[in-house]
Amino acid sequence: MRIPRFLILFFVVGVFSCTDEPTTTPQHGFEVVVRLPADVDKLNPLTYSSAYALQVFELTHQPMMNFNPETLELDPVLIKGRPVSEEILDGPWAGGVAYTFELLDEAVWDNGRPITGYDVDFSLKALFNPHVQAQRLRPYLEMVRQVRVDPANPKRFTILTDRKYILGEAAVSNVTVLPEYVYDPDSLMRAYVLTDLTDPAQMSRWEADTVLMRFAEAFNSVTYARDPRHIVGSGPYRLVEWVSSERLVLEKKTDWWGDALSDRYPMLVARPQRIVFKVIPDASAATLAVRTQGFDVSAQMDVQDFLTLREDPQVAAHYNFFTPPTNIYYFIYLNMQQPKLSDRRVRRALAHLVDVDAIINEAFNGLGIRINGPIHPDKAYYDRSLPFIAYDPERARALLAQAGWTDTNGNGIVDKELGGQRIELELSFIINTGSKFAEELALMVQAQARRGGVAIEVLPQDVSALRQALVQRNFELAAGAFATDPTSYDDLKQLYHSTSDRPDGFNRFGLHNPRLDSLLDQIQVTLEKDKLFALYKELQRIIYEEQPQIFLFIPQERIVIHKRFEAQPTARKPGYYVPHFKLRETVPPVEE
Amino acid sequence: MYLLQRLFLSLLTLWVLSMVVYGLSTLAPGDPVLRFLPEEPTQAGAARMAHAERQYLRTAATLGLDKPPFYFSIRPAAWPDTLYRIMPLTRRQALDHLIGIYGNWPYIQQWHWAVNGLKHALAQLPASSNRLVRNEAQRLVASLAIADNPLIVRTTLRQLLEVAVADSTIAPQLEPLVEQASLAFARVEDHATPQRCYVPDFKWYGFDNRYQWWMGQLLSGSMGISLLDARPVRDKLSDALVWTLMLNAFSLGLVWVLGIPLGLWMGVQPGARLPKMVAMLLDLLYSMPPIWVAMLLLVFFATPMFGMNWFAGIWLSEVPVHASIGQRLAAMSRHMILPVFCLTYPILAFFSRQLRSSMQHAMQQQYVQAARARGLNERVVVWRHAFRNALFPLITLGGQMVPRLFAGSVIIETIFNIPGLGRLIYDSILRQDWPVTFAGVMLTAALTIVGYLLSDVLYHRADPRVRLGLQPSS
Repeated sequence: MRIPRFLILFFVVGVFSCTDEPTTTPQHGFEVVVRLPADVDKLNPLTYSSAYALQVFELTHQPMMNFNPETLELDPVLIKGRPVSEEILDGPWAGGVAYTFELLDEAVWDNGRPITGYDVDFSLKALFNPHVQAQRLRPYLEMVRQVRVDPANPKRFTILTDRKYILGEAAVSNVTVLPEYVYDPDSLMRAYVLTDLTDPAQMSRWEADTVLMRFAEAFNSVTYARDPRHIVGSGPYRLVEWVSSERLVLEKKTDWWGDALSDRYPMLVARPQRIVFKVIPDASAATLAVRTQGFDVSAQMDVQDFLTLREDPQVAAHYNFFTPPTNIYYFIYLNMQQPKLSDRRVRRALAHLVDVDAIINEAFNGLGIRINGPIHPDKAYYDRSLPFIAYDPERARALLAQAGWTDTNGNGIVDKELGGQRIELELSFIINTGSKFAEELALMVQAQARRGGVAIEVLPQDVSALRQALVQRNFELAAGAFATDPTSYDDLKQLYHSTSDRPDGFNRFGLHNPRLDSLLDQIQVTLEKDKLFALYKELQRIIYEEQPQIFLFIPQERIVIHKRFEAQPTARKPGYYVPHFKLRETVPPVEE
Repeated sequence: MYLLQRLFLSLLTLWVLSMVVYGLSTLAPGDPVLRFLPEEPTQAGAARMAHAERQYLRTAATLGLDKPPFYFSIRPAAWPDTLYRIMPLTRRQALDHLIGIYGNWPYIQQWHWAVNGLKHALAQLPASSNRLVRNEAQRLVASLAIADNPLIVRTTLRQLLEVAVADSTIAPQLEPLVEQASLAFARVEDHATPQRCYVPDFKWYGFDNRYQWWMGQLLSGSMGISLLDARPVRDKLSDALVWTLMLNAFSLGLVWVLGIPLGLWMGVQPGARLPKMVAMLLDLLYSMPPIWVAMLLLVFFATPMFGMNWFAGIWLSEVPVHASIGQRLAAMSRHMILPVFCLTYPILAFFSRQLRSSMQHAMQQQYVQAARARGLNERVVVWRHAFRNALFPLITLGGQMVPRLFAGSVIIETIFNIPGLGRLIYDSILRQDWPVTFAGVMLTAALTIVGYLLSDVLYHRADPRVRLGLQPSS
């Protein structure tokens, strides 16, 4: 028969066309292939929303300062040294802080023109144009009111803010500087002054301004988010190609201005010639790609697969495995406004009924770092003297009994007379449907709490429904995760201040503590280190006692990096820093 | 005429489907507007809060949420026809809940206005008033606006009154308004008409509604704009469709090229041992889930784990930047072998089994016996007489294969990292990118319906007895 012969031919051609695939990645120049778990949304430093976009445009664009992945300190990028901060004593912004910067003389745009304070002013004006979709970034810079450029030396400029703020320096110096000639070719924003745009009283006027609308329409458009010709910054790389849902290719600029300064400024080091991002959303697809050396670097590997790969000599011969801490922590929300949870002893008892170590080991394969509060354990002011709350059902029962909860009807669940009714201590626990970990966590907590006489009903909900329940305070227990930045100071006002207990606020616990409020207010404006650390210590103690949430752990990142490179993991997102990768002269021998 | 009728029915199906998809998307929980607004709370301050509110309204308008959901509504008489205009969603839901309890919109509306009045009064408080008290009052009013439980409303009102009375800088402006709001809520409770929640009522909204707006976007050139990356939906779909069509075309081709001879071969020699074994093997294949087979194939034949990495593994987009079309196609086709196999084998197994049984059935018919008796060549008997008649069920099957393939390619595309339509729609659903989801589902549905239409037409051509409502006599 003719057809089977055709069949054989088909497969023979297929197989042969595949066997020429290299089994080991060739040393094609100095290229680093990075896996992204999702496609980037918009490569626009003001309107982006995905963390992957940040990872890509950090290579094409630059802020004035950025966090050094090795030291986690703010290091200069576009400027000569840290800004000079001075308190403003008079004028409209009295009580605020003035930060004076000086840009590097060598810093130039791709067209050869120097980067000046006017570009910084333009970038901030674009950010504060109310029609620009920069809603996510604006709240961080709310204190900015004016940029004053030195007319004699436009490389020198001062950013004026209207209040003292511990995160002020980090926030203003982390603004991405955009070239006006690319992002505003018609110079539309020149007609406006930053001071007016940031004035709350004039907000409604700007909202009706058609010129601002025209600028924003172009700026928000897909052109400035996807077109390589319009994604231009002062960084070492330029975007060469972007194939949607597949890959992004970045190439080092020839004769980039920063190369000459890289021995003095670590944040100007950019070694790879090409950086290719490949989009591989599925976790098991990514695992397979590690086996075929399909990429060089990936974070967010599946926990189970990561451990299996680490033990596999075939894979370990080519990859190094790292587990730095991520910058989020997991916890369980306790709604203190619910009558059942308003007693501090009940909340403490619940904490005694969650076996955090068992959860880390069983539901997270041991890849978690336990915490006692909202502060990252790598911070100097983290309070080590506060002990972890141990899993102890006996102690929990005793605390519950003190608070009036005992099992009077012998059904195994403690109960109490509340508002004229005898109610059982049954709590609902809302978790996110999509998360396998949340599900395991909830089931473990359910079993553990039961031993202390507390019944927990697990309610899996979609992310947006979960968020809504939190906004409406329509929950008892809920699974949560917050960012805990290892780099800068913590401003926890939005989390624990009583004024943040509003629908759009993050004090979803309903925590109201006057001493805590005053501490949070003081921390925001205290710039002396010793005083600040003392305030942080007291803050941690109060939160520890109040127990608005059950603190669980910081998950560890799962990173693979090809052994061709000398590279260190970092606590900074996403856990590795590609520009600092070094190609090894010789690939190290396989360790047995 | 027949074709026209079929076409009309297809369009009708698509239209009904569009409403189902639209309806489901509106039922998705959560507030879509919030995805576009900062997660961080805006600092307190009247001007900023008013700005945030305007921003919410603007975003809602770009999503078409300021329009009524459909041409008409049928819901209990207690609900007003303008509830959709109340923003934000949390406020609307709170009022919705109250209507469900009390059923007296006129009074609830008064209550709604009273709360709005409080909000505005707070925004207008002079800067000289006590900031702490102002913040506390703002917090309470904000909770009042989303409170849907009478108990909470009453407690919050009481707390608000205490706050307002305690401070002389805000008491004169605020106290009367709080009293008024309390009165408004007391009226809601006193004049409850819950029975109105059981009287159905029909309301007409006209053509300026969200469904029509959606459909208008879908039928426009760009098919709308993706909420995630602001790209035209058309571009996203066409990029993805290339992959899916390529996968499915290969697969469909293979099913026909391999399935027909295989089915025939098994069908003409019913008693023989080899065809029986092949049929059993096909059954076995059919029963293996492609998701599992795909993983096994990848692990065994695309990784060096067992030294048999003969095939290209998942799609890693290994096309050079300036590659020619030929190079691109070559790179793509190398990666197609395993996914095409996974997509093909279940359908191939099913298809050839079906052909086998219809062939067996045809071979036993009298006209085949008669043809043999006339001394015709066996080849002519099989191809001219038996095969022609065994073909009818296959035409129907052909139409059914299209949706099966599309369903299968969602899984296959995810596992093999192929950026096709299945993966795109799946991703868009997870990330609530409704314009892409909506257009993607409609496109898949349209392709499926075209598949059915085609098989209907073919059936019609093959057997002129087939007419709408007229079954072929057996």
